[in-house]
Amino acid sequence: MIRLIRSESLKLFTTRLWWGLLIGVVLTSVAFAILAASTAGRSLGGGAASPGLNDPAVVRSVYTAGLGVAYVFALALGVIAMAGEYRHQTMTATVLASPRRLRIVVSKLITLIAVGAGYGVATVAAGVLAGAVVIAVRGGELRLGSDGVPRALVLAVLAVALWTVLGLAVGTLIRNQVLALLLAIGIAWIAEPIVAFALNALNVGEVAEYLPSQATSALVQPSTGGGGVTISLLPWWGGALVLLGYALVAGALGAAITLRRDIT
Amino acid sequence: MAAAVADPSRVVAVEHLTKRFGSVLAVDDLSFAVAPGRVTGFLGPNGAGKTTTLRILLSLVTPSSGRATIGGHAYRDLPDPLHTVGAALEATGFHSGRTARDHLRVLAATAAIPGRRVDEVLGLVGLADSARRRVGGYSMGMRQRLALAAAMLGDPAVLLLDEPANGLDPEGIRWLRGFLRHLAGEGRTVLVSSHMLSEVRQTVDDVVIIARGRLIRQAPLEDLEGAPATLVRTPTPGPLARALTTAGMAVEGGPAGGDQPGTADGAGAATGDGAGAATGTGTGSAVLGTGSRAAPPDGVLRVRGSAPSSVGAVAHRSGIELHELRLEVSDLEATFLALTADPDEQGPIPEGAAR
Repeated sequence: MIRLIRSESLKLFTTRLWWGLLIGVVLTSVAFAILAASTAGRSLGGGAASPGLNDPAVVRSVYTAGLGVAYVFALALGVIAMAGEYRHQTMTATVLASPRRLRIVVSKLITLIAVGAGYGVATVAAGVLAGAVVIAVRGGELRLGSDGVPRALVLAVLAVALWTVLGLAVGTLIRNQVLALLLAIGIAWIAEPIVAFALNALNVGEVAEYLPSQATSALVQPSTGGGGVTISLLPWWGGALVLLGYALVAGALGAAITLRRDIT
Repeated sequence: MAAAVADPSRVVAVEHLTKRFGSVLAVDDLSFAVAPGRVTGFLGPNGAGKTTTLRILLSLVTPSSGRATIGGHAYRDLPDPLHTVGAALEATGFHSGRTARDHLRVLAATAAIPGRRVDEVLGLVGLADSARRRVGGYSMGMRQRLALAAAMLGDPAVLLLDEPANGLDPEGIRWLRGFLRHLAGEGRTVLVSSHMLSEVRQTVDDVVIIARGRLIRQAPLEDLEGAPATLVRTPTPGPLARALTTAGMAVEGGPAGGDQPGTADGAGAATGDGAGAATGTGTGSAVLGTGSRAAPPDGVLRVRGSAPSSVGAVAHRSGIELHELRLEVSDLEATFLALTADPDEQGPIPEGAAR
């Protein structure tokens, strides 16, 4: 098993994808943290002022501002880790080296969760560094050890790690990598947030709470005010459980399909 | 066959194998065994079921029924597959953004094969200088070599190679030939698929021919080629036949033409066609090798098992005039095509061919 995990991590780190994604999450995290910290408490476009930096939820939002991009990148990584094997037909060599396919899926899961956590750490670190600078400049309190900030940071890392598992399942179900990526990113980034917003606007936010993106938000308990619609979220542990549930179902589905499929 | 006495752990066996993809019967009750220490050609036209059979042997595809084993075990039950079986299935299974060396390192890691061995096999297939280039820039021939390198990683005793000569230049094909002969010489089992008999005839010892998923013939290559024979054309076939028979040679045809030199010319020209058509037996009984050739035309004698030089010497001693003297080469490719032809698609068997 250790050997297979070594092989899977070599797979990830011997193509250019991984550092492209890394640069992506760090840059967006820095940019979004600076944006969130600079605009907090200000009135944009003449409307009411958004909650300020004295609100702990806003500080949590600033530090994890890159999370929305990071988890979609993690999703893409998971998709590519599986669908890419079919796209490049490396699945044949992979299965020849390890004919017991359950081991392949498990080693992919372990490797992806670890690498996903790495992207999570990079996201949070970049967000905290950039956000803290702006907050300090604006004279705000950093709250790095209080107000649920440490918990939010750790859970943000967990969220990014778990999203790779959702990607793996999508990549297993849809072997066409381009289609799988388009669908996964399209749903996660566009369709699902719109559905969540609509459900909240219709005052049935308790349904939306169980969507993957909303469960992810619940982990960091960000500032949810503004925009005229109140977004309801599960408690942090509820979000963690829901996301874990999705990952488990997705992982099991991916394994079951991979075990049966003919590789032609 | 040789398989009975050889190291059983190196025998590749397919028993009553059937695979259905939806309504398509890709492999149909196929059985054969491949012996170690020999190069076996796995032959058949495109779509005959060769790749499916190999993929079932490697547990990549699940058969509908039947068994395919290596040393008595299904591939998926082998405790250490890379050190037991080396497979090169297609020259396309590479990530274009990964270097050749990294591709092999990824595979080597699964069996704790050291980096030293990775460099060794890259040298073995002649890719040492391009090892750190991305595979995306590789030619078809280089990809074939890389696939072969991957197969050799674990120094396996059994090699299953699917169309390894595809995309190789003539130099590469010559190299491959020597390489496969060398591997078999070391006692390994080497199964090489191809859709062209001519491509592998200088490499293989045995052939397994399939078509439409069914076994057509399994035999040593020389059985397919038949015994060599000499064709000799003369205006006086009667006296020559007697002289050759007296010399203890096996003579066929001849005296019917008698001493009529006029008919011999046209008949002689048709010899090649006659021999070729004879392979289109189409009766399903695969009557090939000795006894399958058409009777030689008038004025032409066929002398089995004797070289043109000895036939010429007899004629010279008897003072008989010869108009043609040559070795009869069996047309292996025509044999192969006739054997594997689809009766439904080829239409009726050409007139006279079945005689």
